[in-house]
Formats: sequence, structure tokens, C-alpha cells
Amino acid sequence: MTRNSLFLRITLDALLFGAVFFLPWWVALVLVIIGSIFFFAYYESIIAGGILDMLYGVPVVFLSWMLFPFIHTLLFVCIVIVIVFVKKRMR
Amino acid sequence: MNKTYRRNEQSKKHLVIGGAMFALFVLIATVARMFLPSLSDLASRIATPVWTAGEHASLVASLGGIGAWGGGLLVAENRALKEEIEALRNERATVFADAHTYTELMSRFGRSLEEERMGILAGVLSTPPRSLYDTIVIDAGSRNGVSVGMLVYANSDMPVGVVARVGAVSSVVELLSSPGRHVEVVVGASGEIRASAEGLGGGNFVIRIPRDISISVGDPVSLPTLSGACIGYVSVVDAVPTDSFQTIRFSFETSLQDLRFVMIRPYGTSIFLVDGMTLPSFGTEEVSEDASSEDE
Repeated sequence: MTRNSLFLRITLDALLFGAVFFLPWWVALVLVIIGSIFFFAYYESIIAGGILDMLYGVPVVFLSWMLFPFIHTLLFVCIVIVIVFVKKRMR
Repeated sequence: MNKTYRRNEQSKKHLVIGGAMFALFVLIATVARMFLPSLSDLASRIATPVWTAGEHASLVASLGGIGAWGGGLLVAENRALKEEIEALRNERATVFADAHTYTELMSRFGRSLEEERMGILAGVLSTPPRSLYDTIVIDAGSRNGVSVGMLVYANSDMPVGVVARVGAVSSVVELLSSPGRHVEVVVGASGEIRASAEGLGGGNFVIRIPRDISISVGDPVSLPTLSGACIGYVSVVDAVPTDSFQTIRFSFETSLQDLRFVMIRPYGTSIFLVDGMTLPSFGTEEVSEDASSEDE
């Protein structure tokens, strides 16, 4: 990882964690998609999803049979996995 | 042939990796769920000062800003006088903020702060759509006497949610409009049409009732309480000739984004139950004591 891309990644992380606290959830989602596209395995997004769930989450009915309090984490994990696979396929 | 075989092998490998990652996620989620209350409490403790500072900054900014008053004149003043002026300005901004808060409380709840001790007054730290969950975070927790299942009011008699999770200094309130939640409502001014409103999130609801019942846009929707608290007005009536039911949509009368204070009560003036609401334990204890004394 070059110094420039590391700086960009840290900047995006700062924006992402700021968005978690102060901005609507879809801003964080857009930042996660951007991060996953431009950086390899954007793991920070999973931490951001976990923070979103811990701050605002309540157990919700998931797949109509279980109470699940990690909707954001699951969503961000899926996004990261899908984008990693799509990037591999496109090479 | 060789290429196809390699591609199949690769996709199998990808599937295995994907499955393993998902299994790992489920495992982590299960473990994290066991520690969720303490983790959530820790996160809330860290986030509360951040939210409070953001809220205070926006309030001061909306009132005109501290440093914006006559900065040019201060250049000529000596340091002592400058400090004194700064102190006075800060004091004035605080007084303005307090007066603003007090006026808002009076207009919303129609009573003084002393009287409000009947319930638990809490500031709103975050409102939808901060997350996918239809929740608000308030700055009162178990230390203030908040417990899971209490009703949360936006003004004197309009409940907006139920306390779903309690930390030491903050709580998460699940709104009545949370997707999948059902609330009993009365549609129309006559008070004769009762229906179950389903939450759609963001303060929006949908009702499905037979098409024969006459409902029009602008009809009030209220809760079946003694005071008949109006929670909104019908905004859309969707009746299709092929469907024997009509779909009615409405949203909270109060804007959730502008919500700054809420009142938490065990069950207060409302005589109705919503999903997830629990009666406070002292009520059941009294009942059981009475029952045991009657048995004796």
C-alpha cells in the first residue's frame, strides 16, 4: 500500500466513523461501497457496522423467524464480500 | 476443457470461502450478542458526549454564535476587559439556550419543569434516519429510572415509542412506526372506526380496512386513549376496485427529525398496550400482595 493510498484510506475511515455518529445510515453505506471498490478488503466497514448496531440497534425479526440485532454489520459484510468477488472476476 | 475445469474449481473455492466467511460472521455475531448489552452500553457512553457536543454546537450556531457578536470592537479593548466580555457572552448564550429549551418544553408539554418530574424528561441524542432501525437514542438511562418497556411521549399525550434497550446513561427507543409493529388506532373524528396500524418506519404507518368504510384524506388518526391523542392525519387513501380492502397511509403529526425532548412514563395517561410494552413491576407486585391478603 502506497503512502498516498494509506492517507486516502485513513481519510475515508474518518469520514465513515463521522457518518456513523452524525449522518444518515445511507451515507455510511455509500462510503462503505466506495471503500470496498477502491481498497482491498475494506474491513473497517464491518467495525463501523458493529458500532451502528451497538448504538442504534434493537433486535428485529430477521428472515421471519429469529431476532437479529446486527443488520448493519451483516449488510456491510455482504457488501465487502460481494465487491471482493466482483473485483476478482473482473480481473 | 482444462479452462472450464479450472473455472469450476475456482468458483467452488469462492463458494467455500464465502460460506466460511458467513459462518465466521454468524459465530462472531452470536458471541457478540451475548456481550451486546455491555458493548452497547460502552458504545453509548463514548457516543453520548459526542452527540451532546454536536447538539450544543448546532444550538449555539442556530442562536447566532458566541463569537459573532461585535468581534471588531474587542480589538481595541485591553485583555482584562476582553475576558470579561467573553465571559458575559458565554453566559448570555447559555441563558439564551436555557430560555429556548424552557420555552420549547412549555410549548410542547404545557407545564413547568417541576411538574414534569411526574415523568422522566430526556433529551433526544439521535433521530431517524441515522440507522436502518427505526429508533431514537435518548440521554436518560437506568440511572434516571428508565426501564425497558416504558412508553416515550413526544408531547403531553402523544406516545411515539417504547424503550427497547437501557444503558446506564442512555436508552434506545423503538418507535411505534418500526416496520412490522402494530398499534391500535381510531380513524376519523367519530371515533367509531378502530383499526390496526402497521409501522413502515420513519414515523409512517399503513392501515388496511374494508373498502366500504368511508375514509377521506385529512381525517384524524388517534389512539384509543381517554384523551384521544391525535397522532396524525390520513394522507393517502388507496382504494382499487378489484380489492375489497383499502389502504390508508398516515404519519406522525410531530416531525421526528425535530424532536428534541421526550417524556418517559410507565404508562401515564394512555390506557392501551402496544407490542413490546411491559407494565412496571410494582403494579404486578401490588396485585399479587392484594391477592395473597385476600386469600388469607
